[in-house]
Amino acid sequence: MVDEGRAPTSPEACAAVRESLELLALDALDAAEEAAVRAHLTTCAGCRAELERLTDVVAELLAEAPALVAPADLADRVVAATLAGGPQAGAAGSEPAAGVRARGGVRRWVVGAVAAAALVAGGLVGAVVGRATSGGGEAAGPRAEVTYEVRTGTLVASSGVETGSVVLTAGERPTLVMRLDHVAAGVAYGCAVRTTDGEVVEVGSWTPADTTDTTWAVPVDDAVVHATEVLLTGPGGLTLASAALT
Amino acid sequence: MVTALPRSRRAAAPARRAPGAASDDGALLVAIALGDEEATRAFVHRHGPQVFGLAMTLCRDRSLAEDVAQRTFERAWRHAASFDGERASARTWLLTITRRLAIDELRRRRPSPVAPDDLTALLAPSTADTEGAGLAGVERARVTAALAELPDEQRRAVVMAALGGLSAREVAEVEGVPLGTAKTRVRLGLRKLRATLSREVDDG
Ligand SMILES: [Zn+2]
Repeated sequence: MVDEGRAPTSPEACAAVRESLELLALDALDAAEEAAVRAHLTTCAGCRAELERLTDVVAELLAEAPALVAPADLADRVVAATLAGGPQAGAAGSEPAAGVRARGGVRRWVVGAVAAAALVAGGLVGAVVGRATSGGGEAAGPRAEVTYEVRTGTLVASSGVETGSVVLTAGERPTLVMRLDHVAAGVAYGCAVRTTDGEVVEVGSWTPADTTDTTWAVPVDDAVVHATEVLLTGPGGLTLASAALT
Repeated sequence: MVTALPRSRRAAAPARRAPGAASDDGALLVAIALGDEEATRAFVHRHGPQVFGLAMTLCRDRSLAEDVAQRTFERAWRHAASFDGERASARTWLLTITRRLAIDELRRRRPSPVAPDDLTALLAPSTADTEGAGLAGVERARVTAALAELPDEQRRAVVMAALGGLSAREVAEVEGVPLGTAKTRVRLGLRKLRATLSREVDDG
């Protein structure tokens, strides 16, 4: 409980608030109590940090809930509400659309680029800026801006047949996404890249669980970010296809 | 041709994509942030059972739980670019969103508090065969063990608040104890849980 007669960040005020932080982390306080504690938190970084640690403990507890078979159409519904229909198609009670519209436009542009890469040899070059508020819907935090530089390429087999596409992002959390038109379940596919100095660096391998498991996304490090070419290998290190990145 | 390389030259990437491996969730989220439909589907497929299970546990209403699960992934999609893999696993992050959305709905609807009998069901082991079951199982065993160390009344209070979505006032009502007692049980229970879990981390 917060005594309003005390200075907001006095040791006494902190001690009083700390008695309520476990309850706040569990959303177990009444509205009035919660408002008083949150008022203190706006001025006290120490108590905010303590709440964050307690919230992490609660988050771990959530894994105690039993897993259940999810609705069969859950993925369809999520895709329809996000990628296909855009933010406006979301279910009632979705986020405010303000910061989302700009971002939706960016997403569509990138999806277009990936699709185009499958048709046009050479791919596209671009920088994508995504804006998002941090956190998972907790109290409004600082805004985070994430920049992706995106390079794409079309995977072409030695026979000349196009077999998929790759997307390599630079910037924060560089990532390689490889998409194959067809995969064989249980086969270990390998991925490597050729760096600017001509060296081949192994990125990792991937074994599709079934034939619908056609997309592989993997974090990469700085040696890979400036790659000029992506190589797809099969069992025994045989190169199946390659994609020039532009 | 892929040449063998010293380990240090290898990309900092998981060697393979084991089903349910949390290690590439961050990469999957980057792909989702870039609007990749297949990545979105893979992510929903991987985490759907746990998200839906928590939503059902909290809401105890199938259609509401389905709505909460869908909105959890929609929100994850919107915030994918800001996901911080250093701080929490994607699963933990998702479940936090699920709980937030479910509690907002529950508080709006003001349902009657869960009966104590329901606690058994809340802690029942998973029967769903989920893709991430192996990994989730390991983390879960750790939390289950930590919970088991709590005195009964503290464990019940913490579980009712965390997984039942009950306020301290509702815990007091269900347990037939004064509000102050319920608050103390929740507070001490969560403190002890935190101490146990951090002790395990320190022990390696
Ligand atoms: Zn304080």
